[in-house]
Amino acid sequence: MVKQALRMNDKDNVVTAVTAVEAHDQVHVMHKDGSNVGTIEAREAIERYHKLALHNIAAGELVTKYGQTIGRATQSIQQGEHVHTHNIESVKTHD
Amino acid sequence: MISGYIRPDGRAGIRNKVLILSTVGCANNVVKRIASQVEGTIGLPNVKGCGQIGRGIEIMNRCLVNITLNPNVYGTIIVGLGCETTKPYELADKIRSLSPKPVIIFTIQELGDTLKAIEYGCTQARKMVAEAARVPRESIDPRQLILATNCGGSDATSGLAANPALGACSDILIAKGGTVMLGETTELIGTEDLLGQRARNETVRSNIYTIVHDLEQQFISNHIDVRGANPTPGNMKGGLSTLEEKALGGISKGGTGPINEVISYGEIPSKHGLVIMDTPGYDIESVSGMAIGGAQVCVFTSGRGNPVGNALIPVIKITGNPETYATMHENIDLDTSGIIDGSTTIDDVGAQLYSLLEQVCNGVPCKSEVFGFDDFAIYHNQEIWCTCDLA
Repeated sequence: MVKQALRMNDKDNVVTAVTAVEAHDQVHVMHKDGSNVGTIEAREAIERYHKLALHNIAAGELVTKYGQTIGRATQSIQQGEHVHTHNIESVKTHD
Repeated sequence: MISGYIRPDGRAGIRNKVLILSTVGCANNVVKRIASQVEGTIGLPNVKGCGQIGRGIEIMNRCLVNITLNPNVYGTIIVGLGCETTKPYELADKIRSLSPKPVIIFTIQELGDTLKAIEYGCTQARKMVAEAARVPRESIDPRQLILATNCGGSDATSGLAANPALGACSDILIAKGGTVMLGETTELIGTEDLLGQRARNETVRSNIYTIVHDLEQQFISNHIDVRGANPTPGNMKGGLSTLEEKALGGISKGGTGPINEVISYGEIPSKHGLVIMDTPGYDIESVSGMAIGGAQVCVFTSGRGNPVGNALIPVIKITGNPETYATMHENIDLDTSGIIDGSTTIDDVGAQLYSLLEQVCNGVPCKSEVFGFDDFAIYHNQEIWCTCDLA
């Protein structure tokens, strides 16, 4: 079965797995318009609809989905790593 | 091409309804009996209309006036009791000052009793339905279309497929000069900075912050931490990491355009393009608010599935969850899950949805209409009742 992930916007540095992914799977990344973005290797198992890093993301760097900021990396994240509550946090600019 | 009914006030409807409108709960049974007796009418009972104060009265009065101005409505028969705080004759005068559409008003107290009121109402409704049938369908400009958007029973597929597909459809309508309403202020919390950057001007930007912060203050005064409670554990299990991510998935329904206006609940927009209406999280009140504000049709996205319709406007249902579509396809008009399995794209499904929207505008009933689902609720606040702690 082809493992796939979806990139919602050209600016995004995370993509969403639309099939469950095992460690070392080659994940085919597709843009929302259907064009091919490339293939990345999953570093760990990732559940369906969870995110993985499209590029290496440095600690403190903003995490982008839909072309907009969804949070900030709390540690460095490698390409193909699971991106979730354990390594990103909300950017509460108006708290 | 879209066809519809041109109203004497210049607006264009896609349905041609005669409205039997109750100004207060006390008149609801008369309204329901008239509507059930006269084919071609829709009865709109009122959840309140009396015993309201302050902003509650203001919202109710605005909504009762604007309901009648919805372009899907040919004309209205207003049924009052006679002593309610909504003051039915003043409402009728206000409506007549805003539009030359037909309005008939009577109260139960002036006619004597409910039997006389039902008889009089049925006679008037029968005449109005006959007049409405003479209005021809003709070509209308997409500029005249206002699309309501809403999501309910969201799941992980909503932000990936159904909402972005609706966003692509919204962008198509806006490119043709039409209007799209984005609401559900509860779900905008966390996106105010992002929405603010898309605001057409400083007033719009400031209004976005006002509706979000006012709502958040209401939550805080009730000791509820919205930001802390979102995303929920279920959302996180589904893959959502932050409040921003959850909220962005929701606002993608409105597409990518600039935000041209922020309007109050049930208010009619003065701008085209993307507008935000301050609506509550309860779906029936939210869709009703947009219909009151003049939307002629709604696209409603759902993950877990939702059957609601609306008395004034067709509510087209779409889902990104293939399991939900399989079990609930009798209630859902379009399956967008091909976006997730890679068999199609967001832009293609957006175009497909726009085509479905045109068909529904042209008279093809969507599934909530086929079943006659006529949900409607006006948001009302400013309640007074005893909330003291008893010993």
